[in-house]
Amino acid sequence: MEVHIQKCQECQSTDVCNMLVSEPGQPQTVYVKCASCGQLVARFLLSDYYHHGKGIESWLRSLGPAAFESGRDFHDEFSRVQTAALTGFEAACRRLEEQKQVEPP
Amino acid sequence: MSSRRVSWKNVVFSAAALVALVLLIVESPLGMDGPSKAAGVVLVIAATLWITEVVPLFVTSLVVLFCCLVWVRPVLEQSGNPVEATKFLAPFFSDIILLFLGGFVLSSALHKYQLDHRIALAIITRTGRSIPRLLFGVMLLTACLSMWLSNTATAATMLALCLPFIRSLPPNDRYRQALLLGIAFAANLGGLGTPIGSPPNAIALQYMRQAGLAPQFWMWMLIGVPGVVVMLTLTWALLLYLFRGQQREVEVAADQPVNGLNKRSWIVIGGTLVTIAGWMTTESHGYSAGTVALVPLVLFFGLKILSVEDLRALSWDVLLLMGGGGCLGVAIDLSGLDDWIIGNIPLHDSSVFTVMVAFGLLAIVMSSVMSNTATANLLLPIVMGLAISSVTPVMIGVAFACSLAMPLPISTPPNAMAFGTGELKTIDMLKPGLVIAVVGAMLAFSTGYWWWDIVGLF
Repeated sequence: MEVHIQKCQECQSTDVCNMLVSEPGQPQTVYVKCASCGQLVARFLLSDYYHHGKGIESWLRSLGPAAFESGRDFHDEFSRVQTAALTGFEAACRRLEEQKQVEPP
Repeated sequence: MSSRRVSWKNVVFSAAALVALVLLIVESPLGMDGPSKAAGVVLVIAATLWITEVVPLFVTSLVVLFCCLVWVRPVLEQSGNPVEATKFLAPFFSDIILLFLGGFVLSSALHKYQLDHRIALAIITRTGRSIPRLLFGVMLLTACLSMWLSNTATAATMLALCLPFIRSLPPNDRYRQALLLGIAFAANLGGLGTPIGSPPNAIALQYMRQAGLAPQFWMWMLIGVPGVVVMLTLTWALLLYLFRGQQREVEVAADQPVNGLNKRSWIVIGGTLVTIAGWMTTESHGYSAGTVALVPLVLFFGLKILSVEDLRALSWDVLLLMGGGGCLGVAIDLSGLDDWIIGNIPLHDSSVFTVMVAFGLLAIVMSSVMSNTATANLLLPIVMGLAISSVTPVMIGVAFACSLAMPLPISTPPNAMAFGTGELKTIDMLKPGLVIAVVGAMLAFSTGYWWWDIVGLF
C-alpha cells in the first residue's frame, strides 16, 4: 500500500479542502483546493462515494439506477462498503505512521 | 454474524444437494419418467439455491441453464424427444427480456440526468408541511416512479431525498418510521402497476404470451393501477395509525439547487414519453412491447446520451435471473414434469379461484423470505403446467402476491434499504408488512378478481 498526503504544489501546505461537484450526466468530481493559497491541487473522479458520517444516506445517493433483486444482497453490500471504508482508512493511517517513522521530517 | 449465515446456508445447501443426489440415483418412487425426474432435480436445485442465496441469484439461473443443456436435453434425446439447445437459451433474450432492458435504459437515463430527483423534489416541496399529507405525497410519488424505474432505484432515490427531513424530526418521533416504511412499501406496491414495474410481472407475461393469453401493456395497467391506488391508501392509513408521531409539521427544503434542463435532458424526456406511448399503443401499431423497448436503447446510446459505461452498469444480473426462470419453465414443460405435477397436486380439479388463492398464499410466504423474482421463477411455471381452464388470473394473482409480501427486512431490497437507516426495528416492519400482505391478497383475490373479469381479462 502506498499512502500520500496531498500537498499544494505552490505553497507546500497540506491544509486542503475537497469540493465535491455533481453534474447531471457526469461522474461525481472532486476538486482539491489548497486552503492556504487557494490553488487547484488535484482533480479526481468518483465511481462511488461513501461518507461515513452519513452512512447509508450517502451510499444511496451513489447507487444509481441499480436494480438489486435480493434484500440480503443489499444488506451485505452495504456492510461491505462500510467495513471496507473503515478498514481501508485504518490501514492507510497505520501505513502513514510507519512511513513517518521510517522517513522522519 | 456473517459467518453464521454462511454456515447455515451451507448446511441447507448440503442437505438439498443430498436430496437431489438421492432423487437422481434412487429409482423414483414417485412414478416419474427419466426426463421429468431430471427436470424435477433441476427444480429442487434451483429452489434450494434461490432460497438460501448461497450463490448470487443470477448464478443459479446459469446453473439451471447448464443443467438443462448438459443433462435434461440429453435425457430428452434418449427418450426420443430431441430438443434444440436454442429452446433453453431463448428465454435469456426474449421479447420480455428486451422490454425489461428498455425499462432499465429509461431508468438509467432518467437517473443520470437527475430527472427522477427533479420530479421527486418538485412534488415533495409542493405537498405542504403537514406530515400525514407529506407521507401520502411521498408514497404516491414513490409508487408512480416505481412503475417505470426499478423498485431499488426508486427507493434509493426517494430515501436519499427524504432522509434529511426525516432526520430533522425529533429522535423519538414515530413519524420517522412511518415515512421510511411508507417509501419502502410504496416502492414495492408501485411495481404492480406496469409490466416493467417488477420482474414477477414480466415473468408472468412471458408465460402468458407463450400460451397466447398475454394482456397488452395498457391492459396490465388497467388491472394493476387501481390495485396500487387502493393498497397505497390503505397502507398510508395503517402507517398513520401504527406510527402516530408528535410533531405535526416538517420543513421540506431542497438539499441542493437544481439547474435548468439542458438539451440532453429534453431528449431523455422526449424518448421516455415516446417509449411509454409506444408501449401503450402496441395494438394499434402492431409492434411488440419488446420491439418498442429498442427505441430508448437506440436513441440514448446512439446520441451518446448514455455511454458504454452506462450500458455496462445496467442490471444484467436481473435479466439473467429472469432468463433462468424461463429456462426452468421450458425444462418443466418439455420434460413432462408439468403433467406429473398435474397428476400429483390435489388442486388440479379445483376451481380457478381456489388455485389462485392456494398459489397466491404460497407466493406470499415464499417471497417474504426470498427474492420476489426467484419466487415467481419457481411458482409460475408450475401454475402454467396446471392446465386449468383460465390460467391468466392465476398468473397475475401469483405475480401480484410476489410483490405484496414485505414483512421482513430481507423480503425486498427497498425494505433492506429502509431498515439499513438504523431507524427501524424488525417488529416495526413486521406488523404493517403482514397486514399489507394479508389485506392485499384478500383484495386481489376478491375485488381484484372481479375487476379483472370486468376489464375482460378472462
